[in-house]
Amino acid sequence: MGKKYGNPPIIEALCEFQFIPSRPWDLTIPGLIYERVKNKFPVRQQQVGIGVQFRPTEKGLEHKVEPAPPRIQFHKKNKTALIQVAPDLLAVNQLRPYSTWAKFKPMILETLKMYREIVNPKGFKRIGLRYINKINIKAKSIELSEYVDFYPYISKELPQVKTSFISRVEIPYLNNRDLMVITIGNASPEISEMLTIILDIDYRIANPETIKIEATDKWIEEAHSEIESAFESCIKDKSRVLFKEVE
Amino acid sequence: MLVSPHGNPLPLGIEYPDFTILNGGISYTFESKVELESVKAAGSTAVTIDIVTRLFREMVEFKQLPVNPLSIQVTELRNWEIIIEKLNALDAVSGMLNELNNEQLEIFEASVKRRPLFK
Repeated sequence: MGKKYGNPPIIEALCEFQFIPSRPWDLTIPGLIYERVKNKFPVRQQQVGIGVQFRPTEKGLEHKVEPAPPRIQFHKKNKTALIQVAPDLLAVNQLRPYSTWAKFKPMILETLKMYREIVNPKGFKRIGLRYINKINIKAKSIELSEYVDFYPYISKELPQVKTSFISRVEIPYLNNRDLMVITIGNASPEISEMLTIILDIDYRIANPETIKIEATDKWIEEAHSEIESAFESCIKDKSRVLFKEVE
Repeated sequence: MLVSPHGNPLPLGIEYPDFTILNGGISYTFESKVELESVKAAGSTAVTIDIVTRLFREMVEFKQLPVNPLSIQVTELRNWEIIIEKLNALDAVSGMLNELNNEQLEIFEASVKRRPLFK
């Protein structure tokens, strides 16, 4: 059981399932899903996207741009959570306010169950559980190491003042079966004289098709536990004060 | 910090190209008027903020890649819509003509004003 905070920094928690492509995408599927979720997620939206593909060649980096299949979103009326559906993809997103894992986990599993009943996917290509945290600090400048324990190391020979930073690591877990991607960087502050740090922790399977759908419950539980542990390792007491730790 | 290279190549026979989908609502471009946070890079499906997008955008800008081909495609699509509309109209009229007798056909020929439809 992790620590509890009265003012948690989580701005988004999401679980994403990518499925093994099995049959052509049926345009009636989003409609069938909406029929099942419309009581809890009545607001429909469509996200249009473009796909950008890069390929290194002898001449340099070649790229191809093409329209991507639209992603359909079903939002809660108060826009605090949503389900996203696209060909061979399902995502469940909880935005602010994030209450507890005990409430988010059933939402993930119920949505997956409903998706399986309609689409009957062959299996997972990928699963990912991701928590995005936004740390707002009212100050013009701060010593980053007082708030977080994960930041870029800069030689003492170089100027130590940074206006912008980003740092990312990929850490293998469970004998390379899983991968945790931790990214930290600054973002545009919501108000002036405030510093905003984004701490993004993404736990996913490293190799496609290594987890069976039936093992989802166990996998997301483990993933959550690792993310919680990583989060606590990445923050320091000054941040815990901001988050208002509850005994 | 110990850095170890990737030990997990993709299984043989499976190809997952480096394919990034950008979802920007109604905007498809990286123009400066688009706020960084409004463009989502999705290998993930986050809808709030994605700081990795910053790196991606910097690369796109650095390489000066044109990532806005859709306007051209929309124009082409509209041209095709107009052509198909005309073809449908022609098809409907030609069907009607089959039902006319010779006398009615002569009246039609005399009254019809010919235009170059597919110039």
